[in-house]
Amino acid sequence: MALPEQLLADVCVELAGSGLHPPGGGPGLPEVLARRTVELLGDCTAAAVSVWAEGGDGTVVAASDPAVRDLTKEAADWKEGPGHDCGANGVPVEDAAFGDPAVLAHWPRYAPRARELGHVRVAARPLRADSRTLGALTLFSRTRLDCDTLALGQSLADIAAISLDRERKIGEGRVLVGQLEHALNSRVLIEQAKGMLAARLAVEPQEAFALLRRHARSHNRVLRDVAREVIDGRLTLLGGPDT
Amino acid sequence: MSQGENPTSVAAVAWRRAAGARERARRADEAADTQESLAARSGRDVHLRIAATQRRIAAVHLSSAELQEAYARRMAAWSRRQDPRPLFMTGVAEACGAHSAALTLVGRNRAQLAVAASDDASRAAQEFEFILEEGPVRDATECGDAVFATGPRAIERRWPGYGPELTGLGLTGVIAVPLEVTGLCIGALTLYDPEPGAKGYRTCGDIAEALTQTVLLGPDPDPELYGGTDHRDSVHQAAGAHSVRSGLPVDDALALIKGRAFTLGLSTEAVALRVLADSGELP
Repeated sequence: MALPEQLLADVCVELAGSGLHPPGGGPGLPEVLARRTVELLGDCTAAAVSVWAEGGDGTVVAASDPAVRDLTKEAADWKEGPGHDCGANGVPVEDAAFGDPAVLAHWPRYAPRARELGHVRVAARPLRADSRTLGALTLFSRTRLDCDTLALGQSLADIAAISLDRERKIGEGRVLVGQLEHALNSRVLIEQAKGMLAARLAVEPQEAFALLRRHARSHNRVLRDVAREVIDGRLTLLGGPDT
Repeated sequence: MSQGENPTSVAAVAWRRAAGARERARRADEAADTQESLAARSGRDVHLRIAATQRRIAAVHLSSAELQEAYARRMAAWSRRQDPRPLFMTGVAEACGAHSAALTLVGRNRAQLAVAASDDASRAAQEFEFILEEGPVRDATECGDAVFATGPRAIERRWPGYGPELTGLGLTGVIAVPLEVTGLCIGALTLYDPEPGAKGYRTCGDIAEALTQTVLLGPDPDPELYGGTDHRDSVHQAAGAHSVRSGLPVDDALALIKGRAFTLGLSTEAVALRVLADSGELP
């Protein structure tokens, strides 16, 4: 299949630059991938993209036409169809004909609906990054897709997956950095508050810490916040069991 | 991981972490192999680009595995001797081909929050940077780029306060690489007296990334670096104590402790212990 390299390069840039939910409400990565797949893979009549949301709160779905999008959305609820199989096992779904009795038996709800919509055959490729399957790219066609077309489909899926993975890692990284910084800062605040209490009450730092912790526990508060208030002079702790 | 834990179990933890990192490196290399063979078959550059990303990921995991393995070996050997407890950062210095290395974690205001050093010289260098609030870590974390200075003259010209102290320790070269995650800077890896040409900057970059990605933030993070991370607990306690004694805000009290340490030629830790022993009074 002759493929204009420039077009492919443009698609790569477009995919790399789009996220799952782009700010400003433009087309997200699933939409871009579905639309571009049909443009680039000549024999492909429609394409659908499913991205499993992390934490199990639904699947993000996009397709090259609205009917396929609705079908893909329903398939996610049914937990059946090529996209679901691909995601569950992390391996490609090879060419399947919707008219094949075995296929109809395997996807009892999905296959008849796909046939009604005029689709003949289907294959799916996983969106894989760093050994995780993030979603699937489903390719519809009239005739069996050749190896080269499927390999190109996998490449597009790979680029999309790397982009999605990076977006997820950025989010995770920011959370982890925040947690690390919070823990380190808390430690500084707690030590400072310990030193203040120790000096004020003429006790050892360990005893000052026990005082802080006791106050935090009995008032159901976070130790860091108690320390902060001690440092800012908003909270005066006295020695003895009542504090 | 506390200082008191038995060396065999600490070594076992390090081996387990190394195995995890090796497995992640293997998977990334495998993915790169697949993409390279796809590139060869199809002639499409896109596969080479994906492969390059995967190779880079593999290199970072591999660096992480090697650091854990080096530490595991050191720990296993140490259990049979009376030497000081091995430090994770010693292996980092070695891997980077440097005399000493230190890892500094900073807050949003670029203040040092924790530090791990490979030896006395790097510990002292970090201490001067903490006291003087000037030096390669501050520059690297501020500009987000690696900072280099080679030779006493360059060091002293670049950092008028910190430079002479660093060269006074007998260190004549320094490189600081920022530790970044998704554009956020959490600190820096500083190498002192890197051997010229021993290891490329790429290696140090990989190691800095390995420290960030897998040692500090990865799936099984250990920011305490097996008990080698110093949070300067007593210095912060002393700042609190002196603030009560002097009526000054705690940040000002900390600045006074740093100043006193510099004038007396002591570490902030040593000054802090005196402050704590003397009801918050500065020595």
